[in-house]
Amino acid sequence: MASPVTVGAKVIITAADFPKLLAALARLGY
Amino acid sequence: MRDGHLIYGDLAGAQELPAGWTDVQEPGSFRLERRSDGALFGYGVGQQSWKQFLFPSRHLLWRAERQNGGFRILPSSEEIPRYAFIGVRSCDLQAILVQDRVFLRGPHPDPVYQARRREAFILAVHCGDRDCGTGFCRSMGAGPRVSSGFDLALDEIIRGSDHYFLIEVGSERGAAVLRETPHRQAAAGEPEAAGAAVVRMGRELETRGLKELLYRNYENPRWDEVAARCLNCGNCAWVCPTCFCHTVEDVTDITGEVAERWRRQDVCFTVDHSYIHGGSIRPSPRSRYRQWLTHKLAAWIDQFGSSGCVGCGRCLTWCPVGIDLTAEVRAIREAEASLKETEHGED
Repeated sequence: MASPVTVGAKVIITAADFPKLLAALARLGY
Repeated sequence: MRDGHLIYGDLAGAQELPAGWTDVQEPGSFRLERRSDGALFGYGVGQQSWKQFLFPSRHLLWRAERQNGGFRILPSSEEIPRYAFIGVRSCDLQAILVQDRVFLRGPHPDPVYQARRREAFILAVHCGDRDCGTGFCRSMGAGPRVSSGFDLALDEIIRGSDHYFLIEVGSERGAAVLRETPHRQAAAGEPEAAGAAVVRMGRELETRGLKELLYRNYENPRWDEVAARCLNCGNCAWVCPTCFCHTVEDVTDITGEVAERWRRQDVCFTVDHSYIHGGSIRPSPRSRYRQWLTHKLAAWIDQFGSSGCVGCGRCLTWCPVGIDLTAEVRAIREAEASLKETEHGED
């Protein structure tokens, strides 16, 4: 985690971590 | 998935995504089938589109109440929903951009659409290794890969037991989400490998000279042929992600103290939609189908600077008699060419 993410960056997340992406969206108010 | 259908609705978590399912679509036919893997985004588009959230099918425009011999317009109390659209396909993202041109450009942007659109987060998904039976987004320049307008865009990759996503960051909002998610930087070559999978389109549409073709062919006999099959149910327009026809309805309560004005989605296939004092200007099924298709593929370009079609294929799939827009356009081309040949032969 925690490498700087900027517009245009391409990153990899595992399928196991995909729920964490949705959780992050929820935390940010979506 | 809900009740055996692909729907766009509230998502409590990733466990509610249709993992391991795909769709098989042909004109007049939609089936869900199991995949051999657990892909979270192994399906295409269902009968719904994101328009239902940005352009709600029924919306209260204003409310008024009688007060001191007059009436007072009550302020809108709607809280603007903050949607995250998960799994937006390229065709549907292009459809949102088409509706942006309809609702946001010009001197009077639509405030309902504008407020919802501003807040919407878009997690797009590239179309990869699957069949898209009724789609023709490539013909319309609307896919199959998303190119702009997203917050995050992902490729889903399954190789053996490896299951992961390559995600491109399209906005600062997208970056903020990824900063909160475990990830690693993509290695050299990984983006190219992820983008190599190509969706197989079931349809194509020749767009060269299409606007002029349709403008020249208001009286083409093909309109009679398709009208004989068309049920005028309006399904093609209801499911279209760009159609924006609507009507306005005023209602009062039984006491006459409160009045409301509602905007309701409508389609150009109803006789009432084109009713202007004294009668409908499109009284025949032929005229209504011609209006829908000609507006979508030709007049839209003059109005908004782009086609109103993104090639998602919904109008083919959800037509109960399987009318194929791409086949109809091809038939009009052929009928015109045939007519010219005949005229030439008579000269």
